[in-house]
Amino acid sequence: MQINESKMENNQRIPILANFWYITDREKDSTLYRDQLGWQDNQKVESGGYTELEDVWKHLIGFTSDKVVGWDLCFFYVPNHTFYYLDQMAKIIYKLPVSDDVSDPLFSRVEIKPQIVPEDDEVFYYDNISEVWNDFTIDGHHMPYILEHSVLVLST
Amino acid sequence: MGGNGARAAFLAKMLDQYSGPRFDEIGRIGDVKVIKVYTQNSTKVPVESFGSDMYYVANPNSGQIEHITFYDKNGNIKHSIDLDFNSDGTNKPYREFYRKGRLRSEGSHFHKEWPIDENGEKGRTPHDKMNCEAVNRYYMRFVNKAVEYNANKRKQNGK
Repeated sequence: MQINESKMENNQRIPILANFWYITDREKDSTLYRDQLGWQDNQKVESGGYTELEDVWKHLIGFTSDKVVGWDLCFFYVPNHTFYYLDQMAKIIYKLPVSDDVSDPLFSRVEIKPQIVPEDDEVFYYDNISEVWNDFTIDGHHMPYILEHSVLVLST
Repeated sequence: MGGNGARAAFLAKMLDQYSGPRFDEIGRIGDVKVIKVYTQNSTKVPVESFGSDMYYVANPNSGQIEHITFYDKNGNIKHSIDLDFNSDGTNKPYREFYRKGRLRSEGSHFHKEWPIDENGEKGRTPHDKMNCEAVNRYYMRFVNKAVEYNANKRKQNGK
């Protein structure tokens, strides 16, 4: 069962990136860990309790109905250290700009919201959200691989 | 999925999660709470509220209000305002334009509805003038209060 597996992983967490999260009253560790990639428990809850990668996608992002669109999705793809934003209103995936101040944690250097970026940073246009699941790739990897190797944040 | 009871266990965890604190109150504007969701909560705005019919939602890092959310009597989100600001902190007005033949927009905007489709999925209606639009005069008073709150916070923080 996935919940127990993630609890087990917490006991032997694998650090991936230092100085990623910003520190708050509640969260004291700025390190990004392997178990923080992919769908997190609270996102699975938001999906209605689904646990499988594609099920959660379908119930948060990739609705089959064309009358309702799901959440926007910001994903930080670890292999290329890039923030992407899936803008469901504009039907575009684009790279988010990151400020240059390297003394700040990476997560605090990006604004997670729909925005207008240079045209060169708009990397994928679609008409139906299913195209993102089927056709969008980064370095040859499709969405399932991307989701499993990214920090995922739901946005509006 | 669920053949080994995994789904039942997950639903139990859902109830447990919803019973605990999901965000912190960091201030008030009148009677309305200003909240911040946890940094790693992975969702920027709460789509349910069990205690209030409205929240100002702040960025947990900067403490600046970025969203205003409204809930119906059942606790489900019904409207939301996504705020956008100029570099001086003033409200950036909503505008629409076309780029490469696609309707784009920027600035503070109002999601008039968070409907449920025929499959029971809750989301926003697609980008059109009926849903994603400029904040009207009625709701602009909340935006103005948020801008004022943000300016006071920046002043307190010496920025």
